[in-house]
Amino acid sequence: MADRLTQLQDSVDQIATQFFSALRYVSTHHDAEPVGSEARMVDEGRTVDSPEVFEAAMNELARDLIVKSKQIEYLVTTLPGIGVSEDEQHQRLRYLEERLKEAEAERVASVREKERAREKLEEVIVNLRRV
Amino acid sequence: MADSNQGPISTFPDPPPFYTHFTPSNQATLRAHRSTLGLSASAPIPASSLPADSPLQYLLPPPPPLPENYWSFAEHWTSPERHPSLEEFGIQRLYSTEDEDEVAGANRVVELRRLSKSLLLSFLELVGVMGVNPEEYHVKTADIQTILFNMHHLINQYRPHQARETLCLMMEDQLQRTRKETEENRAAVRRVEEALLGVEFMARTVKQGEQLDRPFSMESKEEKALEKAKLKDAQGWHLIMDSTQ
Repeated sequence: MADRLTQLQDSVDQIATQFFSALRYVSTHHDAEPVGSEARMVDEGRTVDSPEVFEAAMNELARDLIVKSKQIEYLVTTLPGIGVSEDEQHQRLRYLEERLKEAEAERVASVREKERAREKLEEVIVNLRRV
Repeated sequence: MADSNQGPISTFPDPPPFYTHFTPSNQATLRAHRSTLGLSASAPIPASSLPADSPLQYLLPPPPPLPENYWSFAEHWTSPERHPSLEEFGIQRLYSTEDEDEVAGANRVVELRRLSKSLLLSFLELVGVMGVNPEEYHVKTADIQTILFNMHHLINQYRPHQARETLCLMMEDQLQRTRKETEENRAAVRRVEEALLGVEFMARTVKQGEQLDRPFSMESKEEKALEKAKLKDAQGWHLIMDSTQ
């Protein structure tokens, strides 16, 4: 999964694509109205949807746009580290680095302790077998 | 270069041909040259101190790029590195900022939300314009384009911040993992020590029991030792079974 910022940028790109496809749908699927007494214009290159289908499709496109817009707003409000200044981040990083060094030293010591305990146990077992 | 067309196409260009001069012997010569000049290990060697046609010239680091900007892999870079502002691309900036480079975190959220609202509104206007006067579309599409550029710019400016934040989270994660491992190791040590204490205790009881049972049976020393060994052996095997579970 991409990080929040990439998700946000993808959503922005997607909404732009949706703008395009919405307009394109309207321009390629709309019906023509006769003007005055002229005959109804017929465009062979266009698929005309029935009024109900056209209306439903437009509703859906509009709803999708709103949903996408809401999604963008949600992603914006959940950006990581909002309200944390750069200095605070640097401080936290330094603090964490110190803690990590300590923890690592402790870990190495504990591994050594474990190794010693294992040796002791091994010794006892070997002695037992010898007796 | 007939065969260069047939060879596999690599993602990156070949290294410059002078990389072959970076041999251990050349580096040793350069070190010797440095010490004859009496320079410390970090001080740069002046290029004029080497003969101009010497391959050692290639081993000297090139001068740093000139300030302002430079090109690398067909990309333009500024030196020192920074995020170019929108104005440099000739795009109108739609958000307000007190500081030229950085928009504060909370402010950025407000600005991004405002931009996303404007984006939707601009689209609505575009649809309206298309319905009334389709020839005029370019005014609105230009608006939408500017808003999109602004949004992307704001988001990209935020990336270093997010990178630091992610690093913080990763470090916290690692800290927890390390502490957990330490804890587990210590628990294992404790278990082993407890088991050893148990064995010792048992061994002592057995010994005492033997002494009480047959305090005078000195003649059966060998037998006693054998029994003790058997007992200890059995306990030992139990212990092994316990510890391997």
